[in-house]
Amino acid sequence: MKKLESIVITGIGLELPARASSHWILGEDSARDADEPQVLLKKLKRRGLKYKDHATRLGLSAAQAALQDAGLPIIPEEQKNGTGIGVIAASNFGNIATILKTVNTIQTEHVNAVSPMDLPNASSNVIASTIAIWYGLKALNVFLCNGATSGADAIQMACRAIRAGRTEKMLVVGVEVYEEATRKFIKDSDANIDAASFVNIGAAVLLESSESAIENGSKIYCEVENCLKSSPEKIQENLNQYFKEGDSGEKDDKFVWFRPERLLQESISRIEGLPQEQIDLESIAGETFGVLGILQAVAAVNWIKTKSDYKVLSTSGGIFNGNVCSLLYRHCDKLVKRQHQPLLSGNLHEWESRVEKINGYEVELAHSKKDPDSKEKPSILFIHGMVEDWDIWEPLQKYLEDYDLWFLKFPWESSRGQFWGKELSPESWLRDGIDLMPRKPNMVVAHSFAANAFLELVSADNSVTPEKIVLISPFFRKTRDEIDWSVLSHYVNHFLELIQESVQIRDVSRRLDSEMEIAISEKIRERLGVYGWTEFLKILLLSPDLNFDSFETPVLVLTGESDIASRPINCEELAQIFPSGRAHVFKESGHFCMIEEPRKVAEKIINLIKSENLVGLK
Amino acid sequence: MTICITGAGILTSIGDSPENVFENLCNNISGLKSISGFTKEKFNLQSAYEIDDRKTEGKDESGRSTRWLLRVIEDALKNASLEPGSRKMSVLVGTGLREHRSLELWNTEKQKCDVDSLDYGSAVRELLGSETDVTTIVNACAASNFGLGIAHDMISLGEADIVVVAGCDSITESMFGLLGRANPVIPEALRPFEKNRKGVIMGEGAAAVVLERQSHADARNASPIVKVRGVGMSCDAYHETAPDIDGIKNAISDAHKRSSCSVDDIDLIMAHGTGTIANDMVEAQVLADLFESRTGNVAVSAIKSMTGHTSGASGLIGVVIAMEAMRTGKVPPTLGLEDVIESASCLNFVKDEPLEVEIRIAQINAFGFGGVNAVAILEQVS
Repeated sequence: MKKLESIVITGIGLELPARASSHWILGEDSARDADEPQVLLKKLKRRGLKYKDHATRLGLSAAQAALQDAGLPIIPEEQKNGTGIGVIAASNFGNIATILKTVNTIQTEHVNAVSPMDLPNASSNVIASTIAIWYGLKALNVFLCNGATSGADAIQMACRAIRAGRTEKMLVVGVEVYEEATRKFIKDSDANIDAASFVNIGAAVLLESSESAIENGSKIYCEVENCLKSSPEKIQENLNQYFKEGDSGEKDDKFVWFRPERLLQESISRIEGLPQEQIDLESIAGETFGVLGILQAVAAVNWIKTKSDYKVLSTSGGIFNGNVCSLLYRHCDKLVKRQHQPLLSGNLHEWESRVEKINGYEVELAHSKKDPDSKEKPSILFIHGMVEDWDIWEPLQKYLEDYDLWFLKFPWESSRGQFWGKELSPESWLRDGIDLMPRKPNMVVAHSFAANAFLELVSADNSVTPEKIVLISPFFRKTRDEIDWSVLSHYVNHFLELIQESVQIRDVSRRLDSEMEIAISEKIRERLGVYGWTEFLKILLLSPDLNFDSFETPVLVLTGESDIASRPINCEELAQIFPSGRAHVFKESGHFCMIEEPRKVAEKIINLIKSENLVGLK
Repeated sequence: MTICITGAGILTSIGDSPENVFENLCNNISGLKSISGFTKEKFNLQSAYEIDDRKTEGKDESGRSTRWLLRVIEDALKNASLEPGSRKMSVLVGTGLREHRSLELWNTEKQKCDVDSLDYGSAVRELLGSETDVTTIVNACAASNFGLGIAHDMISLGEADIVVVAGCDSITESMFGLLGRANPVIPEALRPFEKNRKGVIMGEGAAAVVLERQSHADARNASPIVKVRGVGMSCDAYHETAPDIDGIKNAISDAHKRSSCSVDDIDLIMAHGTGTIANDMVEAQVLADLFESRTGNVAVSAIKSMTGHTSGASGLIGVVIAMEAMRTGKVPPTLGLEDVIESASCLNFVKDEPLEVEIRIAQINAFGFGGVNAVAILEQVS
């Protein structure tokens, strides 16, 4: 299943007991106050925690560390996007002490002797909700008690909430605390388990979609994926697929396995190709029960920080009749490269890119570097339109291997906000971007908004004009009179639909339903903002004044029959303003013919670049 | 993608099937009785809406909520023409108090309670097979509606074909005591939205539904009973026990947005209505604010007046009753509602006798301690 968004960890927090062994994998500077309710109280600074139980204080402390690590505020009033952050907390023993204390008081005395201040603590979810109140986190708030896999289950549930579009970020917190009564309870449940080995612990991770992390400039520790669950007896079926072949079929994947001590030896022995490196985190930290899955996530971050070529597989569960749950963590290679190097044809290492900061915005130029003869080949520069990324050109590439391909990325892809138009006009952005190229391209292929921006640029400055131009789905009106209120309202009202078409078309495996598509499209529209969109309007308003009467360069205008934004009739009219212009309409396409009919589009591009002269073809 | 319910099971103090619980609600039958699980002399409040199933009268026993959970899951699967254990499925259990009552009985009477009975995983896997993915969501009184929302996400994202969503809660001595201790007066009954209401009284119950894609149900020749349009969720981030107008509004708006519907589309609101001063005032205020603009009034019913506050099970119990209301074209009255709390004229609090009306779309509210809110929207299958 193709995931539209991958989920990444951008913050960690850990509160250990003082007696936990020192080990780099738990973080050199992780806190050691898990046994000290009063110290935790001081750390949390603000008043109002007097009646909170130890588990809640411990959860708050780990949560605070993770929020701070992710660079987020810890004061509710400063939480700008509280409805975009949710909480999932997990604990099995959290409020057991409160319950036993209350019931003992009633039994030995009377209900009138219990403290009404204990009422919130009698509800197990007090840990999750107090974290929300304390830090102003208003998206979904869930508390899990799910035995030994609680922590891993919480991480999986948080990933799902983000993928389902419920929130951008999720804070996942695990807590276990033990008092005398709890240890007695454990001992009564299973005499073979050493109740004394269970330690007070709090651990937290902040998860967000890679999209949100990149947009917010968060530091990305690693990616989380592939949750697998089974009974302990069936664990080998799940894990075999990792160790045997690697999850992507790469045999040379390096693995470290964080495994729970108590997993049945018999099951493990049946797993083929077990990685030599195995770590039982509980032998370092102590028995952590429901927190283990989150402790493993924190340790995975620490591992990947220093050994980014490893994948970390973590498995928790298997005690107290529980099932097992595994999660995979990996350095997010792809994401880092997506930020600084484009994803093109899946062969990331064959591409290089250069990022320039222009007026505070990043403009990025990507190019194939594998081909030593590229200089001999005709070069084509591709420029994406509004709220698109350069992945829109990906389907075309395999048909254009004989050419030297260049790709530019501009702020109107929208992830950096809506005010880029205040800094430079669209044509000036293009000029600065094209300036990054070592030499002028032979051909420019521009899509949608960028096609118009490119026309504005060449009409102002003929020196940038390449030998051939391809405009895909540009916007055009022949006369000023044609741009009236109905045209304006058409573009305003159908903009979301257009974004949705782009989301749909890029969702190759069709895994989004329309509800999700709309939610994602709304998010994209929100990011582009009214200011960003207005740059499109301005450029549309300029189109009737375009004058190319003495322009000799061949121009090919392409669009799709069902394009609602750039109608075939307007594209045909635009082609007519160039002495060497012509248009072609693809029958099976909408606004994205290069994705829908890449082979045919590539043919048109190749024909044009090979043609000596188009004069007279009109 | 259309997601629907293909089977349901329910157990409360006033019945053990969707049909008979609904019929009793329509006949104003209350499950309120003198408490039988605890020593009466230790408490001021002497009544609750208990399920009367103890083997020895007056002697409490461990494992009751687990027993009910398994029963309603079996009923729901049977209703959906599914054999327990016949195929892999996921189960989400929403609860407020887990098996805390068993823990209390371990503490005071050395009755059986193990670490693994603190969540429902082991018990459900025993019924449905060891590879069943079971998650226990402990989200106070909104727990089972959260379960419904998460199940909806699992199916939308293609993670699961069939998800059983359940809710269950038995009364614990500690919560019964603390709720009584926090209320300065002793309520004679739970009277939602009544001007002279005196507070909440706990109830016991369980419910389960089978959730799947309509296309999946069609493929196995199962009949959808009702569509789940969407579930909205929010957290007040305001107060541990007091409700908050904005947080509840956020959950309702989120539910409407996810269900692509508006206040004008809602024919029935199954209110959270707990009979406390704070909840009913805030809930009535929120509903009045949000539904003010609509044309015609909307039926509001609060069944906790007869089932008591069934904690984590209450949301899903509301869902099952809304399904019956759609099927029968009747809305159960709110028992004990005489003088309606001041609110807007657009809200038609059903009282005295059932209201006969066609229900196409219903909204089920559930709000819990900690300010956790989950609101479900159901649609009649045409």
